[in-house]
Amino acid sequence: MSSISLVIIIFQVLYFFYFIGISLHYLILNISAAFVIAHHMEEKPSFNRIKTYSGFELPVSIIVPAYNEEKTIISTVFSLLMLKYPEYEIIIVNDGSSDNTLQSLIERFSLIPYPEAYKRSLDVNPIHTFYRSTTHPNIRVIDKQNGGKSDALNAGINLSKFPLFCCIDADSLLSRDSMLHVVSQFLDDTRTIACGGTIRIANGCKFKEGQLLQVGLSTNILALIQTMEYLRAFLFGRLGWVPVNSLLIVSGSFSLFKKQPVINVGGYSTGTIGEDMELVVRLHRYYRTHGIPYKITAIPEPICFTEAPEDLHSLKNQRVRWQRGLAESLWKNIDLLLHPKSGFLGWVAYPLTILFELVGPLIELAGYVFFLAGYFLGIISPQALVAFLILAIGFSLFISIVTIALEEMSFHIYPKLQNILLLFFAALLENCGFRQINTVWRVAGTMKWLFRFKGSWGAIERKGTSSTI
Amino acid sequence: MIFFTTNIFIIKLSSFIGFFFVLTSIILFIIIMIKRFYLIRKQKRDERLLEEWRSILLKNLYGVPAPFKNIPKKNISLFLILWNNLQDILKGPEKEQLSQLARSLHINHIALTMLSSRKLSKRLLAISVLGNLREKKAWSRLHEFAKSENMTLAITAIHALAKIDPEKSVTIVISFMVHRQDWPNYRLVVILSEIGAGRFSNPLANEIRLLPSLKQPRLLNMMNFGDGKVVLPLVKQLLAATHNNEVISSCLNLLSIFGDHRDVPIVKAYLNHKEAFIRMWGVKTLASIGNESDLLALERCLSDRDWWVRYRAAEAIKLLPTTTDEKILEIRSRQSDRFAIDILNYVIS
Repeated sequence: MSSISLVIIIFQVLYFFYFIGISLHYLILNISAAFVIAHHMEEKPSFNRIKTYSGFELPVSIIVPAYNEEKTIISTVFSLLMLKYPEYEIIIVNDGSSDNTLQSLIERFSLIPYPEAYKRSLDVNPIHTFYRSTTHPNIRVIDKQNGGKSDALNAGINLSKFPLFCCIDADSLLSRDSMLHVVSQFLDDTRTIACGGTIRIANGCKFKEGQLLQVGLSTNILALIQTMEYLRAFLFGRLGWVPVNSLLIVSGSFSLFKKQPVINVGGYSTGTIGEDMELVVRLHRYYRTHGIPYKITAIPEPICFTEAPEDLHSLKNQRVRWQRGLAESLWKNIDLLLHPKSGFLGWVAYPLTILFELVGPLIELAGYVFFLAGYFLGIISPQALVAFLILAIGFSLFISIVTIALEEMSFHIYPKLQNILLLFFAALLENCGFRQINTVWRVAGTMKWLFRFKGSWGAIERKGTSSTI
Repeated sequence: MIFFTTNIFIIKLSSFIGFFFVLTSIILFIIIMIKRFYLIRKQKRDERLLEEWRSILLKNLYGVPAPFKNIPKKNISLFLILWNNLQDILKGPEKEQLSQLARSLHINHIALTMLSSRKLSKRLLAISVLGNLREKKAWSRLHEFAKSENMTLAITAIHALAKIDPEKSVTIVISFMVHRQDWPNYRLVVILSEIGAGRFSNPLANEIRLLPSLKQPRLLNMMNFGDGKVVLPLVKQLLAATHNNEVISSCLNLLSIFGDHRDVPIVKAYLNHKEAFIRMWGVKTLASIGNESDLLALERCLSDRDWWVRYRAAEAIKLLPTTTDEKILEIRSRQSDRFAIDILNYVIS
């Protein structure tokens, strides 16, 4: 047997086991998520009956880092002002925006400078001015030198007064009872140190002054496909890990943390792109290696809507950034991998995330290249190529449809039959081109991490594609 | 080429599995569409039914006789949800009238039967209904549910017990509160408010006295909603005896709610405590029960080494009834400590 044949055989065997592995991995996550959702839906009516405030709700500091967000920042703050929650403050951190973000805030909320005296628990870039609103006493704004999202968040943490802080993106819109839902996780179990919400795509939805009026789907194909992706990522990609306390990421678009644990681990890491994931993994590492009981969780309620990029360029930047963030977070906390005290997270979730999320795109891309090259070189027959394509696409489609089923058994927020039909087409389309392009972007992200390209905010071209009335 | 890509069996198997997934996806999708179709129809029907029932219930409540048609078994949960929601909204005689109406429809029997349902959501619904109906026959079964490992089920059952017989439920509720440390305070508070401060304050205070200091703070926090006449002696007794910082901070919090200026000397003793968070609670309490004569003590705290103590002291000074902007400026001019000046500048702004 020639060495080339041997290599090809080894490659096929590896690919075969990889495919079996990833399929089982996704199926198990789906089953786990289904249990979480079913349990949650059974108890939900009981939660909803507690309508009055008990007086035990922990006050929350909401931190909104903003960099060139003039188009969305005002509606985001309005959405926050309408939250149904007894006590919260809003801290907007203008991270050296070059557009009119600060000016729009000053005008809309009548901001005036004031001398802030705060506890500097985390190191941050120099702050130019503190502002407070003369019309809304719970709004404060920090205008600081650009230092990236992590630095902006750390500045917000320093200024925050309350024991919980919530981090939301400047383009995120929250449902009114979102905070009650998330905070209940901290009250139900005092070991909870972080909780993420389920994020949905705002494109195609209608909003009025930051409040969701009507859920809909975008007619833009990229946004539609991302709607399907988000459903999958949040309904099983995150919830599936909750029962074993191995959730490695809570979305930066909307997440709630206990402040002191975050300060104890040094706040958001400024040298990282995926600061949200890195912080969560670091919290896991700290608590596991110190043997302190804790819980990092997520809730299935669709409580936050965010705008998805509708052009390939922005989408590519976003995906490359996410993959770099993933790689950095996993690498920075590599001690957790197979650590004697890391439990299920270090021995199962971490290795699987490395294999299927970090290395996975490389294997997948190599698979595409192998099959296509093999086909063109006459090594692989058309029948074999078609068979493996059907297998790969069929399984991905199956996972997407199961996700729609999870959505159907829970919140069915997309109300019309046409919505379900559109989601099905999105699931089909995703596998015929988008998934492959996304794989290339993810590989590029991993390469950029390997070769250490410098990161930035990675701004997305905001189009305001959710209609605001 | 060897192995998978030329092996006919593997190729056929891959195609078969691939088609199986595609076919399963299509079938699943069709099922989802059919389910959604029926869901939309059900939602419309439910809305119609709810509207009809709401109108009949309200007419009956306000003395206009309007007979109920038989409630189909499949819609009973929907009716119970509506009935429960109305119970939450209504107060006084209307609430009682609604219960009588439900009894005339044999809702109590239906709810008792639902307690045996395998679905948790149905059991939870039935428990809430029986609680609202104050159905004494359900007492023993609800007591059993209260021992459940499922927190939601147990707390809902305890809540129902408190509604059925607040007097009798006090000892049960407090015993569960002591032993189930995992139950969240915010859910228990709702139950305690159902029982009433007059009923729970004394037994809870007695229970707190018997507990080791490690377990006291959680229950002390419940006393926020208690009777001041019971809370104050308890707080003074505990402060005189304890060295547990958590107990001290909980007691100071209670003093800030129920205390008055006569309690200021107790509070002032904690302004020099070695733990910053106790000093902070001291300042916070002083802000609630202190007056002009305590200004000097608060001023000293402006130079505390901990930011939170300084911040609370500045806020406390601002909240004193006699404080004006001029007064704060005057206090600022007396300070030589930079941190004290900074924090006062912040408060002035």
